[in-house]
Amino acid sequence: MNEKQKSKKSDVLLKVFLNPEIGIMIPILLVCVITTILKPNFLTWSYISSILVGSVFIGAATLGECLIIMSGEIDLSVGMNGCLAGIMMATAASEWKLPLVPCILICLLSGALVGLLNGFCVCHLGLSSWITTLATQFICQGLAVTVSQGAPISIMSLNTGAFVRAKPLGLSWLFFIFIALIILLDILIRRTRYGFYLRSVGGNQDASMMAGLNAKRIKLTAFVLAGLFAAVSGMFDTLNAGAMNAAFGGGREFRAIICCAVGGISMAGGAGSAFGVALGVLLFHTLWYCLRILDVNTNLQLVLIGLILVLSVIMDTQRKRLEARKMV
Amino acid sequence: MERGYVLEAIDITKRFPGVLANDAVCLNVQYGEVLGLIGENGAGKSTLLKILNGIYPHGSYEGKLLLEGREVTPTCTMDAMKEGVGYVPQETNVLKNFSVAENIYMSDLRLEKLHGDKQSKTPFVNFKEMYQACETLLKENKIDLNPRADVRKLSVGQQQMLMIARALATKPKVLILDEPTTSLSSSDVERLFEVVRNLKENGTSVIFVTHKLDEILELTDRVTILRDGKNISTFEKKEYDTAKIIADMIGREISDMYPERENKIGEEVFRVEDLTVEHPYIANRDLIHKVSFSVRAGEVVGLGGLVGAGRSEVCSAIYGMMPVKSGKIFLNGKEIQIKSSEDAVRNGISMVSEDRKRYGLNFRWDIQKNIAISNLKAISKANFVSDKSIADRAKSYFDDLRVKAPSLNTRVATLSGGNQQKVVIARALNTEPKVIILDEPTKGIDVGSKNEIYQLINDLAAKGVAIIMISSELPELMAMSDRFVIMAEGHVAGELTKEEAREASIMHLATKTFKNVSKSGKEETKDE
Amino acid sequence: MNEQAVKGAGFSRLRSVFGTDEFGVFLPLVGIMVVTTLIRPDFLSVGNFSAMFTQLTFIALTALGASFPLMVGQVDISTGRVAGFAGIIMSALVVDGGMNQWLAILIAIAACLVVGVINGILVVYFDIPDFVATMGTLYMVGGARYLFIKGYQFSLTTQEGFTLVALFDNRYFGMPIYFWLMIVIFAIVFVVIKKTLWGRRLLAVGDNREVASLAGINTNKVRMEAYIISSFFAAIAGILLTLDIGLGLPETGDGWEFRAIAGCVVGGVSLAGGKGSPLGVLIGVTLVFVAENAIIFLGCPATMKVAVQGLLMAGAVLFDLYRQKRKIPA
Repeated sequence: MNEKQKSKKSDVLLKVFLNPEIGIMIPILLVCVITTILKPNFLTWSYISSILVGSVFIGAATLGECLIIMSGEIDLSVGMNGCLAGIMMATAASEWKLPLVPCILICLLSGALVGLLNGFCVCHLGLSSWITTLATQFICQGLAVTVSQGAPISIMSLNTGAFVRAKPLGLSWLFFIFIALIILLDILIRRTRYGFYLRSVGGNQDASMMAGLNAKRIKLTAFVLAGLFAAVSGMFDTLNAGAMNAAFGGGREFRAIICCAVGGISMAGGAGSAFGVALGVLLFHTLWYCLRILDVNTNLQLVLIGLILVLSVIMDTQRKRLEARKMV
Repeated sequence: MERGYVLEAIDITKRFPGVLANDAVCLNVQYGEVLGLIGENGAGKSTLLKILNGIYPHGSYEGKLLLEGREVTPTCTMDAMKEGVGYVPQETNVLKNFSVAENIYMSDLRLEKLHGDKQSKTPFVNFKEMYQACETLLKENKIDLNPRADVRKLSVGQQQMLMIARALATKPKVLILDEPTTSLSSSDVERLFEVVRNLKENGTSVIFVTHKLDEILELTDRVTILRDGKNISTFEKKEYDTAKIIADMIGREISDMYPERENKIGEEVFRVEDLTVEHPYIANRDLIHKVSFSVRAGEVVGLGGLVGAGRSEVCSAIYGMMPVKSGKIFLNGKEIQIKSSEDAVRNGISMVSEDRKRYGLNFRWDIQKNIAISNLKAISKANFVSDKSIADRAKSYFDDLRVKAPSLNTRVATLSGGNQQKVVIARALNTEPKVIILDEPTKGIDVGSKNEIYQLINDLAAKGVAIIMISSELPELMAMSDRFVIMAEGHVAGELTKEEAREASIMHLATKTFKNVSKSGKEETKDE
Repeated sequence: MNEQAVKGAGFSRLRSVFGTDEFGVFLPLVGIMVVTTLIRPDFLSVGNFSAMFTQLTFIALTALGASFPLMVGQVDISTGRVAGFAGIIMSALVVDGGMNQWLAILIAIAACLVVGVINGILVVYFDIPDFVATMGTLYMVGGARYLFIKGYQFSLTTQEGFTLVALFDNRYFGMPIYFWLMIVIFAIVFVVIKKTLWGRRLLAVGDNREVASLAGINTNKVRMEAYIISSFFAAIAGILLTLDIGLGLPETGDGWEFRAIAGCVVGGVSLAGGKGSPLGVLIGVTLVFVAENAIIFLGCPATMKVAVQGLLMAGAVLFDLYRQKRKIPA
């Protein structure tokens, strides 16, 4: 009897361990509790809201990245792609004097085009995704700096200041847009045909092709979507700052990958959910923020981030090994 | 006559879960002879070779290995190599970015064999000496290769020669050639034979594994036949008789495990004409050459032939998984274009691959998703898919195929091989195909599941589905097919009706040799 | 007859030079230089080139290290941060700890070797995708660099007993000492890769791991060693730069990893493994620098430098892929 209960208990623990969404809540709470103990005024709305609002920039890029990782590839261009898209948007506003909607369209188009280029090289030319997207990262960076001539470009002409400063429910409109994107992505991944195809291709590309799926097109679409999400993150930066600078977005691809890994997106592809990613972003950002208000050396933060990445990936591989063992 | 044996394998028994791959197999090789080893697919040849070669370490099997009368216990390939067993694998595996000489001496860069195992500690490779040693080795064995040549630029035949030279550099007492002629042109085969004869003259024994009877008759001094993991017979050269060898290769009884079929064969549904597929990495070579056949509604066409004859490749090409060089595919008399598996499925063609691990299932998923993924269009409303519709759709196939699993939510990785195969077949059926290709549908599964799959094939045929079936188990193929298309070396070697088909007649066609296809498409065939 | 044979041998030797991978990189390098010089003759000035090669030294050494994992078919993107790590540890030990300069250098290198070992363990034994694993160490090492520093930088020039900095100001034959050191290192590694058993085995592992292990090579050990060496050369590069500028700056090495990989790829190191030579890497890095330099001379905005790197890399990978996929003759 006791034995049985024990095994049941360990089963529950195992389920928690095997379920990345639940698994990730624990460290988030842990970080919050520790911070609250060390700094009692942490649990105030001003801190919490700024954590939430601040997470949208990395968050948007991470949503795109998670599609790519789910399809079994990797995208290193999301940061600079977003940056270039933001620069294009700002340029459209300040140089070409376009109104808001065309500016946003140009921004999204720029991101999608880079995504298309990535997808074409990976799916049709057969290049490995990391080298391709590394190359496009360089290209985007070069273009961004060149177009902006190294100086910030203002979007004053769009009059978005009031929109950005508004605080609905004490948060920001950008945050709600981000929430909407998470919900959309979640629906896309879990409820639509494309979502099933994407996870199938990431899980076993050859088997998916055998089942009659067009793996190339599915992956290409993922790259274009990732480009779009990257553009959204660049747009967020631009709107938030009221200007775009070619220095924004550097290194964001790494943080996006880490958020994905933390959020339970298997690096081997095929598994993960948008909510997991959202939680991953939240954990990452909360940790970063807490370390900052606890006056932990910024650089120790980097060390911790790297450590988290490695640990979460080790956990993923161990999870898979455990699954495999349970199955036999 | 009594020359003694250089290599003896005594009562080798090797078990895999559920399979007895080698059942007290004995094999012996005399000094300076070429021993042929022949047998059907799954006869236990490759298991035996892997034991001789140390890939299956000593202790993982029962029985003894004697080399020159002394017992040896190799635990890895290096051990076997040191004991004097040279092995040339079937697939080309060479270092592409190295020279011929370095490929040959990679395991012995200090050339210790050459210096009589004198321990030298130099960290440097003596290229000059290596090239010289290589040149001598190649000349001794009449292998026409340049030691300095870039391996990337070598032809398939030359790479095969390189692998032989690599094995010879370890001065083996016995050299094992595992189906060395599979990808060789006829002139390359001639050259290979010369090398083997030369080896024999110099006193090295050779085990020559092949599917092709011609080669056995021409080259070997003795032949040992394996079947179902057992020794069947051994013939001396003077006793060679094609009919006898074939009889011993097949001679199995068809058990009553094949259910009766009541199908009405209807009109022609599917036809391929002159299907040609280029070799993926050999220039100017066709993997499949002008293959034509047709299938009628409710008919099971058995695609026969030995492994490597191009059967699976024909199916992959039809299914859009391999680029087609030329040829036409007709469905209900209308020509269709298939550029991807998506096109194939859209046209009502479905396929079950022989490689269940790679092409089979998404092992992270449960049964229902794996079944439903092939036809989400049927259950999606405006691009949205609900879990319930997936479960509903999968349920009918799950029940029809009698998949033994706790529920539809069970992960496929936890299922047995037979049940996994049922899920794969269910996924293929989910596309509601008019033509279904089954590539080795019963490979590696238990007898009970096999029987159920046979019943399923009969049911499909009764419903009027056109079925193309590949099987390496001849009795299975014979029992299940209404008509036979036998392939050999990428060609259709012949078609047989159910009445004409005997194991011997099929094996005759399957062991046919096709002379190398010239670029103009002219070809000569040679019957043995 | 005999004469012809001699001629033939000479010709084949010439052909064997033309046929090498290094030559394939050398050609576009010369091409770019010729075209740029024709348009802007001052491109080919001693000043321009000596400045370029001085900068190039550090990236070239990092690239040399990065080429080892690539040669065994893996990737290491932590090299740049490791370089900075080495520089900072050395300066911290000397400035804060008052340690002997040579001992400090040794300890700095040893610390970096530990990073290499961690990379190796993560990739080889934990089976983590190489890219992700080394990205983890990239962050850890990148952050750790700052932990040693209390102010913003360590000044080595004012440090007593630190004679190496002064040595680095001198020029020999028009170039600083570290340039010549780099050349010597490349020459040694060239010999190691091309002529020693160890080098040949390393490449064999990258070429075909199965064949290598059938030939009795311990492939896991070789893969570990590749990561350790990668960190080793990165450390050397970081220490040399720190000595050159006389300052221990934590951000030293940021972004080097990708320039290094770009240099390797352009220099004919195959991402599929098994192919690569130090000479090729040197020429590749030079090509990257010359191309960047050339477009500035040709009037392109300097900011396009990075984009050119990206294009060069994509082109080189495409070329490599084309070579890999070429069919073998029947």
